[in-house]
Amino acid sequence: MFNLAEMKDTIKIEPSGFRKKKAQAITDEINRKYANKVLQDVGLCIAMHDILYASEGFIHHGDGCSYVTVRFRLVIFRPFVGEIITGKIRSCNQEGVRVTLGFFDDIFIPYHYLQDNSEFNADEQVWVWMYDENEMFMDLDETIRFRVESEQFFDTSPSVRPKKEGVDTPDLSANSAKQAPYSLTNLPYVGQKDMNAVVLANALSEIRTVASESITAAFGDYRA
Amino acid sequence: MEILQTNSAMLSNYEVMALLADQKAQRIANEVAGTREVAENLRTVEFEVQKYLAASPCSTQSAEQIAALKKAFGSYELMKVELLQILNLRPKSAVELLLVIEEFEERFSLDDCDEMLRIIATALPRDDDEEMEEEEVAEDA
Repeated sequence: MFNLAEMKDTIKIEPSGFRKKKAQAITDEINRKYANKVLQDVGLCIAMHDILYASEGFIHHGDGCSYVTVRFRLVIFRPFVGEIITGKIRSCNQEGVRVTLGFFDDIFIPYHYLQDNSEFNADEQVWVWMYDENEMFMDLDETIRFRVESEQFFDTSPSVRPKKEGVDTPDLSANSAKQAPYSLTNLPYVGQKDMNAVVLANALSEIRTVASESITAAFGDYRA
Repeated sequence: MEILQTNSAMLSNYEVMALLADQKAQRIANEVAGTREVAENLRTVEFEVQKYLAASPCSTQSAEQIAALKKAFGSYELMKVELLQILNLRPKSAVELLLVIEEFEERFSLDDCDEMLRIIATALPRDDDEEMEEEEVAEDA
């Protein structure tokens, strides 16, 4: 789920930070710059892990800040494809189920990846898994275990974001369609906690076969 | 900004939890009077990750327990990611274990499965195991 990325960057320490110890000042600046941000093709940055190397600080002409070249490692949230994670159901709609981990929300399970015989209950706005005439409701805030099937990165810089239809203002961010910078598509493994092991085992063997045979086909449909 | 290596090592949930707690303590220890400003984005992600991890099995783990688990699993040929997932998810039943180990049936026997679950239960003890059993007994009765 979490891994480390090695980075190199020039960190600016403002004069107000000179009172701190150097390592602490660098750590604070790196965290300010990277924490809770998605880096393209790297993942969601959580916090700095350690500093591998830091140069002496340079002060440029006409500027009181100290510039330090730092090589450091960041803790990154980036599950590998095939990883199993537990999360909570955030919302359900016709398209599928949205799952949240608290710190990461852009997890989506398309309906065709749900267990066989799952139906969308429009009254309750939840998905229901019909298993042996039992109705298993996938209620909101329910803990769910899923497998990461694929991941997508989108460059969200204003200049390359897709344009929203029919809107044309000078404000670039209002112009463009909302798109998560990093999102996961998943296969659910276990809907509800209180199902017994046999049920799970059956469901799993079903999912496995489905997964191996038709994922590519199903995914093609979904994309289209 | 230059990305030198995107995946230089994998971290277990326990390590992330320990790091965040450690970093917070460091920050408070190194605090200079009157400079108490923590970036908002760091505070948000720190809080949310800690909340998620506190509810996950890693909340009761320790470095010694993880070392013991790794040693106990030495006789099985597990991939790094499989061991990592065992740590993060702490499987309690055969189904959960089979999920994280690829092609279990071909690589191991059912006895191995029982043995692995026993190793996990002893190396990573958790209080809620007994509670769960009690609940089950209550439900059965």
